[in-house]
Amino acid sequence: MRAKFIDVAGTQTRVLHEGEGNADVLLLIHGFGSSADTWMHNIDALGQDFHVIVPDLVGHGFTGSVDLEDGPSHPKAVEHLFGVLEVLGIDRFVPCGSSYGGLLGASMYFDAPDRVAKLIINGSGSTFNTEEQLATALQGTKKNSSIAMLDPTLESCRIRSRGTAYDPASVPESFVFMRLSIYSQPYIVEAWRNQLDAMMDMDKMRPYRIYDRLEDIAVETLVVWGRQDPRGLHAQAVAGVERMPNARLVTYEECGHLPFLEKPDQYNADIRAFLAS
Amino acid sequence: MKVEFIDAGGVNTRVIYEGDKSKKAILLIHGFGIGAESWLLNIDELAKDYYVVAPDGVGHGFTDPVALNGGPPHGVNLKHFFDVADAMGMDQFVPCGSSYGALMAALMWFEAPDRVPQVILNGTGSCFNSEEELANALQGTLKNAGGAIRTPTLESCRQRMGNTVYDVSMVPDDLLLSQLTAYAQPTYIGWWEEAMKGMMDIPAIRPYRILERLEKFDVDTMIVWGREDPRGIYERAVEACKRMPKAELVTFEKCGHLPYLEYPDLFHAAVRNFVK
Repeated sequence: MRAKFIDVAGTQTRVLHEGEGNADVLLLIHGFGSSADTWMHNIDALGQDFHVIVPDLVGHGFTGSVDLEDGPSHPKAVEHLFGVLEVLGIDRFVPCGSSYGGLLGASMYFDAPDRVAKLIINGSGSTFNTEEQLATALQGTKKNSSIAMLDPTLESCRIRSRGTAYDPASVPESFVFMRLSIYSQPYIVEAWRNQLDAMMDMDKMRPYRIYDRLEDIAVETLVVWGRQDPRGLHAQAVAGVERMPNARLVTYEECGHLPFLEKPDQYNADIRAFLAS
Repeated sequence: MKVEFIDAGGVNTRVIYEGDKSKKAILLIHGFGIGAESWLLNIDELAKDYYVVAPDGVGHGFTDPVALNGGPPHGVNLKHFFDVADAMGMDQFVPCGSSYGALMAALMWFEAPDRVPQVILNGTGSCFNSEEELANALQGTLKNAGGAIRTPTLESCRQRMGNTVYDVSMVPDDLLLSQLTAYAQPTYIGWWEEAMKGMMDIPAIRPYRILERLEKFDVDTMIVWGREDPRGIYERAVEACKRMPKAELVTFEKCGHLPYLEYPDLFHAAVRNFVK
């Protein structure tokens, strides 16, 4: 695993990465309030076969924030992700997103279908929840994250990080410590609050929803879901995948919101198989 | 354990800290080229009895660099650590430094003896090596750390830390992930190389040497040393301790350059026994 900072249209951006430039590109997109570090068990393993690119989203991790211009964060986040690819000279890629990152990956497909070779969506209420369910989930996010965001201690970050996993012990301490340093940056808390508030404004969100356009995702898609995901309902994933023309659902038992972190060996094998097929 | 980004004399500084401000304060000062997370195993545990503050030094971890203007980093570092102490409300404190950080701890006593009732020095060639030995050790640092910092990977960070300890399995992953990102920051390598150059300028660092004035180091001091320290020569610690009026040497067996990380339980017991 390597790290670098790049300038994406004026926004300093941290990118974790591994793998060769001529291999297929896998763009790992973390969830809301998270950071690239959440993929720590996948980057080296998948970097053996793919060129793995893992940026921090705008206003997350060690990436600068941008002005939301009174809208939701989605279009800004998607624009920034395309900017990352441009700086790195990448054309075709496989977006692989977690939670809110799953929605961003799907949005990238709608923006540039020719560039998206395949699509991977992991435990993503943002993508498959109804508006009502999404509002409830966002309340949960706000409640779960607030304590860690507003009073970050190793313990509050540990509680927040473990809050969405099935087995709390599956969340590495190194990730918890990174989160502590990240959440202690004043601009991150401000960006988080602004983005979450904008996200809870359903009228402004609606144009960026994917749920109503699932039938239009024609690209081969793998949906990975933990049976016990407390943020994205498994039943919604089942229903959502049925509406997608070229999608397959893989369910992980005894698994919560972060299958790639909770069951890394199984996950890395599944991704390899999906991308090889 | 908490993290805060503070303004220390105009320098945006990451500080890891914990504990009750009314208790005795300990300022943990990391070595050159590593960050405050090297004290990860110590902060919460020591905070049961002390107010513990572990800053990233200038140009280290997630603290901004400061222009060195061709000189060694010692003076800039020293001022910054006092600025951190001031900003964190530490009037009196026990500086506890590792390697180059131990030299900073010792210099803090020389500069402000009234604020420093006791000093803890861990495995430190910077303090006790002769000028010639120091030049050799810095060549080792340049080679070992330089590689990891120039092309940081999780594995190179692990190897680099592993080279300084007795048993590489004692290096927790927790600090490597953070180290990887810190090294990748655009300003990191340039400042590190400039600072290394300044450190290897022996005439320029001479005013910051303490080996030649150990007899004047008239403060209650605990020296903690790993018998197998590959950076600081153990015999130098034994000799230095004899020359210091109020020093005691605590030796950890099967231990390298980072006793507090390699044997945290032993280290905490030693600190509790010393700082009362």
